[in-house]
Amino acid sequence: MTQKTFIIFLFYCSFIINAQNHTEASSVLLGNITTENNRPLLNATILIENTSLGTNSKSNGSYKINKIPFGTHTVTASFLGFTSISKIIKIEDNSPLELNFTLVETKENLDEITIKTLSKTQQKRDKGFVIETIKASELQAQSVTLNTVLNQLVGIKVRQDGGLGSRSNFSINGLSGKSIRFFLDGIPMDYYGASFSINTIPISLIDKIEVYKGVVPVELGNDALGGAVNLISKNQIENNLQASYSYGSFNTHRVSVNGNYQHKKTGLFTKFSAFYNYSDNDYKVWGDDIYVTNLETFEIERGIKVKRFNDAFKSKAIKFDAGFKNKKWADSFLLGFVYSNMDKEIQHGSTMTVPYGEASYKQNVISPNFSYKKNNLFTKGLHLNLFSSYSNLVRKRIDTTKNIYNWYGEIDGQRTLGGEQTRTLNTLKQNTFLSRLNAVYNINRNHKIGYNYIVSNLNRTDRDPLITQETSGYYAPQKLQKHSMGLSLQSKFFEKKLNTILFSKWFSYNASIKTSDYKDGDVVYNNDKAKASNFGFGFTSSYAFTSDFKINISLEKTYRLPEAEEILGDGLTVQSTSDLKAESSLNINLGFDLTFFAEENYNLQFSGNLFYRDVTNLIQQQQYDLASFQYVNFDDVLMKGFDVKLKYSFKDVFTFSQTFSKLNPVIKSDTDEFGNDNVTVDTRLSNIPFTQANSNFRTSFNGLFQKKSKSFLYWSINYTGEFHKNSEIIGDTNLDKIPEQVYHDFGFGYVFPNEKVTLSFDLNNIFNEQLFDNYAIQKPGRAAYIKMTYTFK
Amino acid sequence: MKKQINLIIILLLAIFFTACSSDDSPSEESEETTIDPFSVLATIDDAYYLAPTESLDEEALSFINNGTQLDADQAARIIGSGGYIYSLNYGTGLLSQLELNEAGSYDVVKEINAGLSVGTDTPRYKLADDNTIMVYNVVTDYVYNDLDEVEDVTCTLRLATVSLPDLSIANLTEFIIPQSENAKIGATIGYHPMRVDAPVISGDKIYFGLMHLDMYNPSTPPPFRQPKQTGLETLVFDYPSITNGTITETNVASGHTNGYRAPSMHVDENGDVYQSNWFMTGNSFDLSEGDKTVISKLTDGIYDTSYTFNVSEALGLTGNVGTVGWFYVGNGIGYMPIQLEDEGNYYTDDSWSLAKIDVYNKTAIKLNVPLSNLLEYENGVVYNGSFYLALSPVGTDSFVYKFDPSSTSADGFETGLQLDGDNISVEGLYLNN
Repeated sequence: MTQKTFIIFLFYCSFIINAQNHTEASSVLLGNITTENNRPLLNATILIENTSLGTNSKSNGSYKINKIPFGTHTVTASFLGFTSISKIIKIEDNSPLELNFTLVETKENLDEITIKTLSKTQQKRDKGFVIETIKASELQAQSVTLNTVLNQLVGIKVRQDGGLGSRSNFSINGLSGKSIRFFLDGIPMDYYGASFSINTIPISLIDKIEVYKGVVPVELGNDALGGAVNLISKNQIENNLQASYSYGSFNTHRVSVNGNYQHKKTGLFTKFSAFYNYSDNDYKVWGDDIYVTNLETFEIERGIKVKRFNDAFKSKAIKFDAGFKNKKWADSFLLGFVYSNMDKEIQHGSTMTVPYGEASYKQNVISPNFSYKKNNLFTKGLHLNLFSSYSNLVRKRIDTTKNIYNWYGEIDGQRTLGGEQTRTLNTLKQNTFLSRLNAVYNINRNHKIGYNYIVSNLNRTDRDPLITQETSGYYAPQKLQKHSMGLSLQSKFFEKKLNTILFSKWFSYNASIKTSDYKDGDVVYNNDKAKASNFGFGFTSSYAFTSDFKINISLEKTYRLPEAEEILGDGLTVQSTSDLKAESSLNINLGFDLTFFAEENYNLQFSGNLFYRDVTNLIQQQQYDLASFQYVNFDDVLMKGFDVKLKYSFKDVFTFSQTFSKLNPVIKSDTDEFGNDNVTVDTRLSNIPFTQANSNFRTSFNGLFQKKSKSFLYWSINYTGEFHKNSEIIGDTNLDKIPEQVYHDFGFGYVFPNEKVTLSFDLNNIFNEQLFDNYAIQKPGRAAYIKMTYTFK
Repeated sequence: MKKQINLIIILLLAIFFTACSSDDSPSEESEETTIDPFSVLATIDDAYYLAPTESLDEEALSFINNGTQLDADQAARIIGSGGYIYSLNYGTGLLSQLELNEAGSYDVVKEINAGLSVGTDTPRYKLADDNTIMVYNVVTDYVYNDLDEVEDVTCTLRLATVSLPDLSIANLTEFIIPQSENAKIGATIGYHPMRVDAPVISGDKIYFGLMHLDMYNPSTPPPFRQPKQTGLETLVFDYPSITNGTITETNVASGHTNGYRAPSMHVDENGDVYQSNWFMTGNSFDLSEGDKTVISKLTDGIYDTSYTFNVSEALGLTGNVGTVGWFYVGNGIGYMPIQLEDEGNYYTDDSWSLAKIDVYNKTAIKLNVPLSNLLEYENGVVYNGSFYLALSPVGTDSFVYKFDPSSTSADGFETGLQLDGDNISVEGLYLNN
């Protein structure tokens, strides 16, 4: 293996040397970008098509692009709200060439954004990553959550415990939970907690979502073993303000506001977003798992239909950034602040059978941050991006009631001691410092080096006035430090038909853990240290046979570091451990993109991806003794599968897309944690869906009711195959299964002629199917929402 | 080109629909006309399965694609009595009465919310006599002084009687368990009764074994707190009224008397109660030098201090010997899972053997069965004069073992029904009629 790697590396190096020989002949392009009224345009984008060359115009509208190779090029200037203009240039010698653009304002803003984002997506895919992207702009008129949107992507499954704000587990090609990392504009979101997460952030604040499958770029530099989701927030240059409000079933209210303002003379820039979500989540649940007890005979009556009564969810957040853009000393310098808060009632435990009436938890996060971005720092081609933040997270669990509730929300009796799930008033405080350094150096037009470093320092304390049986580590602050570093070399060969990235990542953690021991009749407290570090590596490559047919291959040996709770324990039932190693996986993707009739009115795209994940040292909870647990490295799993996607579109009038994905996860552990031979070896992993499909039809038309108005309509069908909660080879009757499910969603939207107001109507789960992502936890039935979006211009 | 596209679309749709419509063809049901006489309980990865078998003596039983899954939110606890299987869903508190059908699976006859009757989703229960299941729950609550320090602990027992086979609940009782000074010696603020279990009914009395823990700090790490709780205690009520709750105690040995999944108490043919003890501190099995595993005798609601049977001594083994309970066959003969401290950890290692004990003649023999883990083993079966128990050792085949109660040999057993082995652990055998 190492020999092979070395040969590949040598092969790779020879290409670099080759490519460098052709970098001498180049020239400079410069000019000005102005509007029709001859006003200079700041931050207009000037791109040389089919190259990575490009820049933004300065405040006086001027721009300059260096090292343009000899030959014929298409130069495109674009700016939000203006029609893009392309010009063809021919560079034959080293003398600088001047090219000016006058951009004309357009009314079709949305289309412009669409074009821009599409091209960026394509660029990432061209580098060989398997990436699914969503242009959120298209969906912003709808009352949909990020989870719903992501769940429709091929190979991705979001499993939710209930309605709005409920716990969700995200999986990408079968890998899930902590092996998937979330980012907001490239910054890890873990430390913001549940209140500012994929579960709460409204789609209105997001411009684009990128989902990386298996192989994750160095820029996101984190221990994302199974993949990563990067939310890219709206980053408009022109001053704007947008507000939306959605109301619907289960008393659900969702409000969001976002905007930005730039003072052109001083370069002062501010960006603001805020949201508020509320839902009673009092949807109906029914079936055998729902029962009431006769308090005389204690006999039970199953199969009743009830409304959930302790499941309300409320969250709010504000994110504010202020600073300067386009200064000599910084392309961007921002101070930011995130505040978020949530309140969630808990309706039941791991199944719906026993309802809770009062248990809840709250969370509060305050996180100031700072970011600095400068291109061409010290030397040309060196770009630097710094981010640093502090976050203070406080989570409170409240579960003390003595009341025993039934599914009608009535009190059936009293416990002697309180607590529905676990009697607790636990307060967890977690302070985290996070810093990220991201640097890119362009060696030449075909090669660039990227470097990324993230360090986080986490400090955690627990308090619970109800706990008197604390273990010694319970009140002690515990610490966990994580580092991850990545280095990448990005290259282009054969007139950019072959794109490759070669990268290496380094992960490490060290923790100080408090443990207790017993010496000569006394309890002695020890400060144990735990640490581990790992090197990961990988490459991605894509080759374009023609502009309509590309293949890409990517491979990564990667790791996931243990989480705070896995290492430090919870001071109660989870024991700390100093023996935990990182989880590791070898991820391989092989994919293709095929486009038919690219030049014509209609267009057919067909793409597919074969994937392979060999996961070892999975971190799992194991019973430590009769009453406590500990995390151990156990179980190897091999996953293979494929995703395919077919998309047909006709002009802008309608699109139809069909996805299908199949997963075959196989247990590879020969023995169990006690050394017994494992009877389930070489059988499929339990509690994971194997088959998914999604059909989506969307159409838009103009001039309904009013001239110049726009309307859209969509219908989507989602299918998930049956899977077992436990091993499918054991037992044959009364097995816990999550049934095969199909649900339909429908929606309609109307954009008024001035494009300031959009109204939409969404109907989810039209046929009121009983839906389950997890065993015996029912999701909402039919639900309707209306939404209004207003854009101030 | 268009043709090709059509072909691709058709192919894709075909893949899609075949995937959607693939349903499991119903498995062939075996034509059985008689009910198998035994049920076997197996567990793997926290799921519980029950399967019938025609014989415990020969052939093999596998849970691969065989057996009925039991509802188990956290765990399932099984009792067999009067031709029914009773399954308690630990986590919801529901108690189901199951009956084996001719197809070899189990039908639910009746369900009651036994947990709610004692105010918890996680009650404990045991068969107290052939017609009675007792359900109970103990909660411990702290008593604080003016300085907000824990001064004492209140231990409240809630219990209910479930009559079989009609599964009707009666005798809902709440009782504050009296605490003896004896048990408190050596603890931070005293050893408190935090669990009751293993009820037996004899005459007009019902007996509950008691577990005491130092509730203030039960997590003291190994080798555990010294001195340990002293004495043995048993909670006794008048039966069937469940009144006059008292604690009977003795100093003939120390430890808990509640047993674990194996019961600690049995009533012999004369109506005497024989009880085993065990040692547990915090979350760990706790055997230290000089701890003795004993059988004690209770008659008419009190300890008979004239009776002593030191099982540890009778076995004559070097190293500490512990137990969690035992199974009674008749005529004073019983079989006791024993943990041999020299063989490893009680929870993770195959450090358990089996002893044949005679509570009348006070003899004990360690049987030459393979070492396995019997900590959580629930039930054996007496059938045609033999005693049957399943052993699931690591690394070798698993069988039901057939023991001859009349034999005095350490090899007085033979292997019977072969089990899956591997990590499918068989935890109990039950009679279906």
